[in-house]
Amino acid sequence: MKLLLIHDEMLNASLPIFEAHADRPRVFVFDPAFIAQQGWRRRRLQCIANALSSIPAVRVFKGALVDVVAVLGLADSAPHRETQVVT
Amino acid sequence: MIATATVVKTAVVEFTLAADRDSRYQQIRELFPDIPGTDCEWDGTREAALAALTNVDALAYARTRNYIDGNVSRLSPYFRHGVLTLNEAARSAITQYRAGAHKFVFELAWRDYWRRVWAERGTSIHAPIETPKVALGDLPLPDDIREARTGLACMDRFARDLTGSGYVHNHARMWFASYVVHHRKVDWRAAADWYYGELLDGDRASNTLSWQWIASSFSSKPYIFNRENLEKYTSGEFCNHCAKRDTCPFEASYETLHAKLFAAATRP
Repeated sequence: MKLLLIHDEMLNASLPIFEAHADRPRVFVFDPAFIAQQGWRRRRLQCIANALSSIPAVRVFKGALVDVVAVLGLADSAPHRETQVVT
Repeated sequence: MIATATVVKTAVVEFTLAADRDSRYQQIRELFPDIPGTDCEWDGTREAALAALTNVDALAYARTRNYIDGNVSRLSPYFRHGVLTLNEAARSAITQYRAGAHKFVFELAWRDYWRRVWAERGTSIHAPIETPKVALGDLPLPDDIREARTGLACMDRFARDLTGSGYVHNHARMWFASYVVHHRKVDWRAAADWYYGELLDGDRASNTLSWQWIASSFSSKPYIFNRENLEKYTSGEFCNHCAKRDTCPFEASYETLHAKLFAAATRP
């Protein structure tokens, strides 16, 4: 499965990368370990959620990034294909 | 709400962001019950960012940006999360104001510069980039600063702004950082980490390197200010009712302050 992994510095669907990879599922992950490491407060997560709400067709997860990518890769009907991530 | 989320693996939850803001905020509260902090006062959407950009008054910004009630853009959370790009903002201001956009674009350039330094140096920006020009302290961040209990009306307000909304006026950030690093001798890295987490627009490059700039490990001298400067840009808003107005630590000339803060340990 090929993904467009949206990170916290690209919360804007008009950025060129979205058009360049328009065929890829858009995924954003709230990773609890990363959030704790950053020291972010609740308002920051809500701010990110607000920005995500204006990006069409983004799938939003809570979990460890590696687990989310693994889940999405395993969900592919052709398991021999690697999960490919673009950020 | 959580009820609409799908558990696809024990530790992985997929959820659909609610269309209305209040419900989205509730989703975040439920999904991250252990994350402290206030609710977000910022819209954060691309639509709101574009609307805010059209409201930028580059001429008023140039004249008044250093005043605590001045005309500032409040675009930084959008820049931090890519909701708005620096190029978009610069183009918009230059198109509308031509040469009058200079100061606004100049400040955008600072943000771009910090990011380029970060891109080149990576995580090493969390250590002093240069030898500090004065001796710096290494104390942990005290609770009275973190909890806005210093008794200094200005600093306590700036701390409450930080932990309340996550947004602090740029000049207030400079005053606050100078107080923390140079008056209280706190390790700038501890202060910068705390500040980054609390900010809505916290950005590793701008935040960390700005603290280094204040401290003098990424500038030619430490940044200090005096009461006259703070009163001028705050119209006396804090000093008039400050419990410590008669023992203000900032009430001095720059020469006196410099001698008091650094004389014993100024490095060659």
